[in-house]
Amino acid sequence: MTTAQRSDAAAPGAPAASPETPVVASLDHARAVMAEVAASMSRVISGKPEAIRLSLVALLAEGHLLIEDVPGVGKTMLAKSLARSIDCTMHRIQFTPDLLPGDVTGVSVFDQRSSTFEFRPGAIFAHIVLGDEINRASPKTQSALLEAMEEQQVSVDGQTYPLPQPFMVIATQNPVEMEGTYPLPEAQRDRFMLQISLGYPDRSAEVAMLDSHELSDPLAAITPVTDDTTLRSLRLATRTVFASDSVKRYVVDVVTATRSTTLLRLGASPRSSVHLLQAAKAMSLLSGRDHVLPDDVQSLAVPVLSHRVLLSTEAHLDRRSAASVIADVVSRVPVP
Amino acid sequence: MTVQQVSGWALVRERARLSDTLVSAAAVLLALTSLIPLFADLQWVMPAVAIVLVVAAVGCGSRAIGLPVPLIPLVQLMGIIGTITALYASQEAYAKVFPTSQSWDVLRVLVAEGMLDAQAFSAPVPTLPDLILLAVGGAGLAALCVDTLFVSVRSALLAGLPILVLFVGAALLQFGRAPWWTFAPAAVGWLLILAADQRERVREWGGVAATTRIRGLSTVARRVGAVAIAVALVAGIVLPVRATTGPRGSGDGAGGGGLAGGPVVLDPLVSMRRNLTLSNDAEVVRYRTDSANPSYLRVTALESFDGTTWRQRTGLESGRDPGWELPGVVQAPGDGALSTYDLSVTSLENAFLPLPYPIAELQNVSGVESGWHLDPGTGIAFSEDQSATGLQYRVTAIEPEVEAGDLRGAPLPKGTLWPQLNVPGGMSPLVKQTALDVTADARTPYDKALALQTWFTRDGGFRYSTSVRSGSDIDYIAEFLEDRVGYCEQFAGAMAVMARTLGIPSRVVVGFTQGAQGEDGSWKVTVRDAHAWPELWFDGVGWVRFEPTPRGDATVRAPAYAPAASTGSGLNGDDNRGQLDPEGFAPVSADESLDYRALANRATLLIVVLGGLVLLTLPMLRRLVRRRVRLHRRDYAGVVNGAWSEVGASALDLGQPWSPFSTPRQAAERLGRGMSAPGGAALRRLRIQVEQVRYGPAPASTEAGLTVLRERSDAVRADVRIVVRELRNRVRWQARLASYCWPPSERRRQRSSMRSMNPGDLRERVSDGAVGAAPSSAGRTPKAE
Repeated sequence: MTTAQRSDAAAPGAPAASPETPVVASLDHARAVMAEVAASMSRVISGKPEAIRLSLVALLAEGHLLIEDVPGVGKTMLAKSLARSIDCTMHRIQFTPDLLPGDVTGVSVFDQRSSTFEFRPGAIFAHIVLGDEINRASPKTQSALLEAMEEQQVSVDGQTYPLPQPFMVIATQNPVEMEGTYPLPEAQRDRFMLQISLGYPDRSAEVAMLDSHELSDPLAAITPVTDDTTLRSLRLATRTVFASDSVKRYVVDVVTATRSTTLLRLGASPRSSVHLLQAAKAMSLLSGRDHVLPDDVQSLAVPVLSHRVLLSTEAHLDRRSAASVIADVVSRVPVP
Repeated sequence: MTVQQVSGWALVRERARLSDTLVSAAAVLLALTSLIPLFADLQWVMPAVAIVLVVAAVGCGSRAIGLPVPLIPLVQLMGIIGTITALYASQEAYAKVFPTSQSWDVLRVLVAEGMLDAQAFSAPVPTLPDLILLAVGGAGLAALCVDTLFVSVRSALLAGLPILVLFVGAALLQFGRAPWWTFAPAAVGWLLILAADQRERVREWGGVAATTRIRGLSTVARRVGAVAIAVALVAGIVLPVRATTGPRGSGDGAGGGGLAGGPVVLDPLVSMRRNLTLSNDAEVVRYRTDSANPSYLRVTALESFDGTTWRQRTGLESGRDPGWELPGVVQAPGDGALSTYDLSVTSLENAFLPLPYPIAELQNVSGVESGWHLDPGTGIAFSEDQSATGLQYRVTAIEPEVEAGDLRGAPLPKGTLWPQLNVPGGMSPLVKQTALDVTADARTPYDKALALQTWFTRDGGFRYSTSVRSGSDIDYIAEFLEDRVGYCEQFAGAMAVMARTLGIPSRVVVGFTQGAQGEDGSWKVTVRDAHAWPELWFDGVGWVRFEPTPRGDATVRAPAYAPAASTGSGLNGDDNRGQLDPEGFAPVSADESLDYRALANRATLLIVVLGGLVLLTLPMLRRLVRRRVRLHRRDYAGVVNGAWSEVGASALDLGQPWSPFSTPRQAAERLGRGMSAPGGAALRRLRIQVEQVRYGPAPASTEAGLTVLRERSDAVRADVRIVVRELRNRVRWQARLASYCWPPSERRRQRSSMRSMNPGDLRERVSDGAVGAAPSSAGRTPKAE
């Protein structure tokens, strides 16, 4: 059963929305804009500045975000607050076992009046797509989402439809141990740039949350602070952040180190090197810096890498988590 | 995230170092337990433990002041020498520790004695100072090797070798009769090293989070080790092994007088050779006598020969035959002239009195109340527990008036029940055959004895030499008759045994020759006068001394009734070579030699002091040079990176947190905690510069002129000074002083350079290199901030 909600803005049905050439945003501008977005989000998600920061990193670094946590800690809220803070389209797909790929990508419907097949875009045609409980859908549907995420386009009946830019998927999933879930295959996890988990808020944050929910929905109070055009220029600015050769080597060293440790059955992919550097650039931009530091790489290694690796039996026996193994690996790589 | 781990790293490392040294020392101490069965008691333990601790302490100290790794064993060796000097030759040493040439002499003599004693005694040996010295020296060297191999070279496997040598050496010295448990402590010691190594490795890899693994691993190691030791012990007991007995152990049960396994009876013969080879002339006895031709001084008479050793008669050994109490008249003066001996024992640890023979009376024993007895059969005065040192006594001796004619008329003794006729079984027929051949022309027992003496001293072509091993067992006697090289022990033993094969009762007497008469008329007997000779029994005359030893010097006198064969062939030629002639070794006059020695001593002291000073200031000098180099590189990037290294080194020197694994930002964050505003600002400026130089984009153009560059470099140097001053102000003056004199940063550098020898430790080498900055960013100038 599809429960694709449409948000306020209409989905762009036209296959090619010609993007105007965006201007590369300046450092200070980028920092100021993102600080506003973060402030807007933190009105809803209280006490989780790190999660907000990481979601902004994914947004700037042209990546997708995977939020894994138990139900009810605000995964959807985070995604919605991000989308609302930016003046852009946002769709939410509630994944269920009977969701079909066509529900996600869209289908061609025969129009009797024009005697032609007309494409009805699916829920994925939006700037920000929130895939709720993605691991409850069947693998077939998951892989439809996968293609869209990677290619930034949808192919139906031989016709290719590009997705709007900027395009970002925020998927939430319950921990795999929970009932009624299909664990995401490694290939699909690899396409998410970052995985974060929110965790329970602390006492005061939870009390504050009760206060904010008492009278009205705090989401409703959020107004956009930026738009998709600005976002495109920010993304370009992210790409221009300087990363020295030594930092690039450091990134590769970190990723390579995950492949040689005995605690991991599967190390991180070369794609993750790209993602790690890209995320580090975004982090630098958020800090208003024009070059990447090893500190950026260090602070992002766990969220970027931990969901891509598989623990070895040894690590399982030691009850190690992927995050702690990655942290260990990073601490062993010499800083340039 | 990983900040905590990274910061903890350096500390963990330091502790591991110290614990490694301690583990090495503990392993050696455990291995030393395998020496316990070697010694009769535990007197050696304290000095051995002390020297192991000294080696460990010196090792710790040298590492603490950042000595170069190759020098550490040398310093430890100096520590060993100093300790040994303090223990055994402190009288002759500077400040009781620094060796002088005199103390070297003392030690050399002790070592030489120890080597001889080690060959002579079989385990368990008595705890003589020279043997303890060997054990202590061995323990020190083993500790040095283990410490070097484990802590410096980081090879736990190789570190097991010295322990193995210690254990195997001890086992071999016991001829395979080592107690079954001795190997276990040594094995546990090595396991300690292996476990420490394992722990170290895990810690290097896993960081803090790996503590569970550490526990798991060492549990496994403990279990495997325990099982292996248990299996080895059980297998050694259960598995059939060919029974092996020591080459010299077989005779113990047969004629040893029931002493096998008990406390060692000091074999009087074994100390003979060592006394003979010593160059010093320690006085043993001094005496005055009215006799023109003083008798040899007898200490003990060995009448029982079991094929392995000559021993005293059983009754004497066990004290069951008390004889007569001393002092007192022991024998009515019989025939012959009497002469008086006033003896004073200077130094003789044995429980025997040196006495002429035969004696009529012994009196005026001073310095001892009771407990001395005289055995009339052998003429031996003995005590059960007292040493003869310091005693003074007067002896009335009978001048033997033995004529060759009387002797010649004496028949062979009747009966074969004489214990002094016992020839042990298993003796080579060559001995008896030789005796028969030599005495073929002699008819009376006396002539036969004389023929033997002549053969030994002249006709047989025997050569006197103390450079053979000691012993007079039956195999060795046969060997001696073939080789014809030996000293008094072999001559006396061989002649006594040969006499027995001819039916003449014989015994071996150990004692001293008459010594040398001084200008004041007193006779002085030194350890070099130690001697052994046979006494043969002639019916109607008694026990008569013979002198078969062709000793080249004048100390040996053949008795009048058995005159030495005309000297010539055997005495002046090669024979002298085996002996030490103290005067022959002094080519320069005594005064000159003294001056020379004093000079040498002064030079030694000077070298020691200078060397010590250089060693102490070496780390400081190196640190200063490195600071200068770091802060005065040619390009700006070099200056900035050097400045950062300098800040890190200063932090390390002053015991502030600094880890090579943190990024500049993390390092500055930790270091800047609690800094004053200007210090914090300077540190932040430095950090930004470092980040810019290392990770920032290259500036579009190098528009910055030389002056700008110089100004910037000066600013960086000024910031370094501010930060370092701030760091110094944080600590007390003692720490500040220590950071000047023994900078730990030098220690760390040198350790990491040492570690790079070990291929497993790539990590630290890389990290150390990282201090020098990324090569790609070298030569850049930063953008203006």
